[in-house]
Amino acid sequence: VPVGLELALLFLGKKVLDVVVGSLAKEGTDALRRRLLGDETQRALAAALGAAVAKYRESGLRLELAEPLLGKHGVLADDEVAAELGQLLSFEAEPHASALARRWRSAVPDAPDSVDFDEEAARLLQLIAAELRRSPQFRPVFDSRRLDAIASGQATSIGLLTDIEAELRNLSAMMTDGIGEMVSALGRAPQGVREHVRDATALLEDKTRGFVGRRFVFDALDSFLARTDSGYFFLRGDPGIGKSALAAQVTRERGCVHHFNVRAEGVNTAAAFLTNTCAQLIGAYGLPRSELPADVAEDGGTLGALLGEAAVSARGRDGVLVVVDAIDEADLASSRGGNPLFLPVSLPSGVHLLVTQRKTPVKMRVDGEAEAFDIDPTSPENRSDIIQYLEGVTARPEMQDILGAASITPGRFVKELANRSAGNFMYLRYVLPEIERGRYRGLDVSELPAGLDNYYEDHWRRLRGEDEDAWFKWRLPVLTALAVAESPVSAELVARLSGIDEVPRVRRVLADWQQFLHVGRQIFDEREVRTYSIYHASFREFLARKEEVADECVSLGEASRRAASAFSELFDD
Amino acid sequence: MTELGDRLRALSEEQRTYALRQLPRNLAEGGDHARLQRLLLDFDFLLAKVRALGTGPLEADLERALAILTDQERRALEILRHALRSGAPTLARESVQLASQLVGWLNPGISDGLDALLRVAHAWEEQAWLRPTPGSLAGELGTLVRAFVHPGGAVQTVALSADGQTALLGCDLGTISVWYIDDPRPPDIWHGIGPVTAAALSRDGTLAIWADGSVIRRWSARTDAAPTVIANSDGGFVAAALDASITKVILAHSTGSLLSLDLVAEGDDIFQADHAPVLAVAPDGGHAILLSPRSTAKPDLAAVEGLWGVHMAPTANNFFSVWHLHSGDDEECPYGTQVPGALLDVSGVARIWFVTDRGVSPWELSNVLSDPGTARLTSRPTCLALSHSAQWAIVGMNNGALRTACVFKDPGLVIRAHQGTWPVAVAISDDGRRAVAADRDGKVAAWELAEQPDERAVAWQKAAITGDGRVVVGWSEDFGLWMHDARRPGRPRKVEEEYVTSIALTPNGGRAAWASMQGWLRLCDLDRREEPRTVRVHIPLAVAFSPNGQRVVAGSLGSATAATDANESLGLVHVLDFETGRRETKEPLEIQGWITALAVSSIGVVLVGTRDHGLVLWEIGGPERPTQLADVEGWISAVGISPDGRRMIVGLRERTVLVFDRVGQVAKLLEVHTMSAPVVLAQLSDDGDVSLVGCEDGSVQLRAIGGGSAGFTATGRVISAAVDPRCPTRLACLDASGMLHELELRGNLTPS
Repeated sequence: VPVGLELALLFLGKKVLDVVVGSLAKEGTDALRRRLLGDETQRALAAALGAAVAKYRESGLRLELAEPLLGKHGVLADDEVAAELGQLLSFEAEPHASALARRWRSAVPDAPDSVDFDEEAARLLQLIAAELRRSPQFRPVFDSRRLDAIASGQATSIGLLTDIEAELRNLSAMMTDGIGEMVSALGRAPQGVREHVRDATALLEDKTRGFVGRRFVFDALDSFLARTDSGYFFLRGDPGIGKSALAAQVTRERGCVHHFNVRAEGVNTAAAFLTNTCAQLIGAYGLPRSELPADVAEDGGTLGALLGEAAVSARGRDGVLVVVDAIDEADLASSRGGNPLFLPVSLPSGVHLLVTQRKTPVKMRVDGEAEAFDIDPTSPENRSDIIQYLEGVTARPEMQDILGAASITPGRFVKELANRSAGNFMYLRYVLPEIERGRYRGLDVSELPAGLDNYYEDHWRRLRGEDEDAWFKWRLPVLTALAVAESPVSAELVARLSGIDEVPRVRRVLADWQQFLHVGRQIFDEREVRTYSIYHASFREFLARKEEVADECVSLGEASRRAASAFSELFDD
Repeated sequence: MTELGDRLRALSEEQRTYALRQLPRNLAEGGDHARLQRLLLDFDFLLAKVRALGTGPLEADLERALAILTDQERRALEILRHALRSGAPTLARESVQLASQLVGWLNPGISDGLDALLRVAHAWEEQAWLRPTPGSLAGELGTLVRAFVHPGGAVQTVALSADGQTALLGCDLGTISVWYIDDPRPPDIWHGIGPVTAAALSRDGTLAIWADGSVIRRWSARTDAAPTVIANSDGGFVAAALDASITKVILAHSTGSLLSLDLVAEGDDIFQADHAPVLAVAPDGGHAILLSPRSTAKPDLAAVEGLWGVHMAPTANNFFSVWHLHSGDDEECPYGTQVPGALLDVSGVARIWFVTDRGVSPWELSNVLSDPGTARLTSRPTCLALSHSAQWAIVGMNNGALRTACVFKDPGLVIRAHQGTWPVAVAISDDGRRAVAADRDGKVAAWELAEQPDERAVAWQKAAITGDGRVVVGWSEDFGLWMHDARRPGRPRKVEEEYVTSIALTPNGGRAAWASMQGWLRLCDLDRREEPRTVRVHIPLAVAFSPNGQRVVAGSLGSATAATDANESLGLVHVLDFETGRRETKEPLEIQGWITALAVSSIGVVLVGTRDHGLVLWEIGGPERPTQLADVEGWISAVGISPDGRRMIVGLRERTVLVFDRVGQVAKLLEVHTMSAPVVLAQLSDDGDVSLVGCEDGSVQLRAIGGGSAGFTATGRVISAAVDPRCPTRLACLDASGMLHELELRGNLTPS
């Protein structure tokens, strides 16, 4: 039963479709009218609208700006606006952004002066069109620019709309957390500062969805903050234990200045950290700068000065807490022998840094207070959080259906999964969707792999065992190409890097590895392309460990050679 | 465009982005060293990468390559890395300056690969740029005497004996070692219980004191025994020093306490400085710099003889106080950010306050060291040290350079070696010839520092040069006013001792004029080699020639009159005939405001810039009264006017340049440009169609009015610059470190 936002999306879809149907000429057949007004189309349109608003909201510090768009009386539900949205499908005329801009402007009277609603409206319309084009129902419509080409029999899964609704709900909830206030402040920063802020809204939304527990970590952090005037709180733990989710939750709740290193996306250099963090400090604490100094990324000098200024600005409040995630993923070469990311050796009074890292030591000099807090996967506190998370998952109707069909009690399921996860959240992030998709038939939980490494191993063995020939010819080269690419790449480029000529084949192999990949989108040569990168560093490390096993025939060095040879044409030798 | 550059451009955008970002890594990890080197020495690849991603990722590529290449293969890339690091602040602002920075920082003849890179950079013509003489930014480099890796972790402290022969090194894992630089015998190595955060070595290198964790130890070369514990504490020391008689050691604690240990009587004293972190202890062990960011109260340290305190209160006006704790004197100084042992101006200008046994106040010393003679540094200091005698200072920079200064003599910090990696601890010998520097990875290098090149020996504070760079008339605080005329035989001659406020030179270098705070103006015909003529002018502040050199205008400070506000400055403009020294107007022109810049056209139109009262235009002998031109808000630091008086240029300290056309007594604004730093020089070409602007960060820019521009960035503040009147595509620029750059305009300034 649709509720809340989902209902609003469906309402919106219906309203737009009514407009479209109303505009149909006499030649519009009844069959087409029925198809347009059917649940299937309505659901697809609702999903596209929701996905577009979510994408809009997650980029460029637009969290606050997007707030009044949805809802039964939201900007998009306005009659005039719905009529313009209808133009996207009827192709009678190009949709006009000004009506949307006008209505939107009136809904956000205190928007920053720098916001150009005409530009924002055009951007949102582009996103909606892109999402519609992406949906199986509407793609033929856009390809032929004919409404009657709308596909039938392409049901939008209930889960998709539910997921979009959950994402939108989570984004809305962020508005009332500390991060909402911070994003709002950053959105009002001067353009020369704002443009350097790396918007982490999407990442925060993704990492904190379903977040539970961790009270024992918060308590340790709060105790450190209360006990010390300034210092580093190093949160350490195994891959997949939930460090990034915790860093994201702290950021979200407290509205901290933050930087998330993501090696797979190339966001791990000192320059990326310094420009992002310095811009946030200026914006969040209202420091008197209209732009970042040109040499901000040269070293930690500007960061040190801004931390000091922010501490003065924050005096009387809670002080300054900066969150830096995954310091072990930082590109050490980019900090030229200084501290990773040029993190300050000493911190000004009133400044604390929460830094997450693996348990392996990171060479770093700290003068002043520092505390390392290790999350032990076997600790009762961690197990309790795992159980709480699983209990939340088993309460979902879809999961209850699956458990019911397999005659497994939720209690047993939670207990078995908690044991099998070995205290690792990343394990659950992989396994639970597979269970929901029916991967483990009959749900014999005793057959589930134990621990993250075994989960990877299980998947590895299964894919290799399915077709040994395909494994060595395609699956392994594609995977190692992704590993050495270390940045998101399109299927076309994966084909080139892996030496596989057939792009469709590469796409199929990428689908085999999909659960370990992050799928994103980038614009190249004015064309949006789907890009792939390895989702979690633990999988990359699993792969690196395979290099040690002769029988596996994994060679990242060879993959690097192959990737480099894809650019042989640059050299004339 | 190189062939590789052509092929790079032919790739799709995604492939090109990947090649720029990842190909060097793939080549490195795939073991293809030859292609890796070719890629990283290809100008088009470097330019494309700097444009797309900045210099940081390129430096990371070089780091990765250097980690896997053989020593023989490394040399060219190490030098390229140094060039990129040195030019990084400039390239962060303007990637188009890659060619000029590479040509300026690379000397030819080092390797075939670098020579090929230099050739392509030299011939680059994709955009207009100013090409320096190869190697003109680099100067001489020091010689590596010895390199070694310190056992046990990242070096945190370095101390050196006065003769530079013995080095004491301590690391974060507690290992301490004594190295004998010119002696092949193995080092003495011991292991402590915690990080070695403070260490001192006696002048003769025979006694070492250090703190590892909570333990303070002593070691004597004379006894050849293991180190002994002389005290226990709670750790956290940041600096240590031994006095000259080796009877007393002072250890400074991060919380502000100073521990004084008597090595003979084995007594100790502790002084607590109210949670004021100690930044440094002077080499004689008798002085310290304290930083107190929180408390507004002066620490109670009066009992310590000769101790200087630095109190930094984060106030709105960014000032802090320095006081002599014994006498109670205090003084306000600019606020800076913190590095070990020094306070630095946030803008990157090295303002260093050393506390020495001479009792010189930090503020006085800062004038000697930094204002205005010190070059604006193109990178930030990471560590510094004084020699035992406190005569030599050494500063490690984040681009790997080691800069030194003779504290009481040199006005600037001169690059005398390049460590390559980020130095975290340095030390220098008493004669300023030997230095030891360590990086975070434990790599230690001992350097025989380069001799200072002659042209860097004088750091000009004011100067005028001709466009061919052959005539220089300059003034420096230490050396007075010197004239150098390369057209004639003989060494530069010194002609003035007193403080000079302004210098002007005719475009052909035949005549010079300079003004002194003492109340005179000197007019000197260089062609005739006559003694200067002296004209009395009350406190002259600015002086300028007409283009033909026949007329000199001078701006001076006047007294307030009934017509002016007593609180306002009154400026006087004097017009003089150069030949006779006589005044052309009966009375000087009176204007409101402190005159900061002057220019006069061939037809006698005078443009006067003031600090806070805008711009005044005056036609000498004309019927009109002087006109206050269009509102120009800010501190006018430079003005220029075309010979026909039609066009004017104004430079502001607020990093802005304005160009006006004069229509009668009205100025019509043509262009406004934002510069990267306060403007110090603004001139127009003879036809008024090209401007030349120089700034405090060392940047010079040639710009066609209404057209394109070409820039170059020197290592120090621009002191003077001029276009060669015989060849308008050539110009000369003198920077504050004494370097003269001969530049050539490449490409066309006018947009196509």
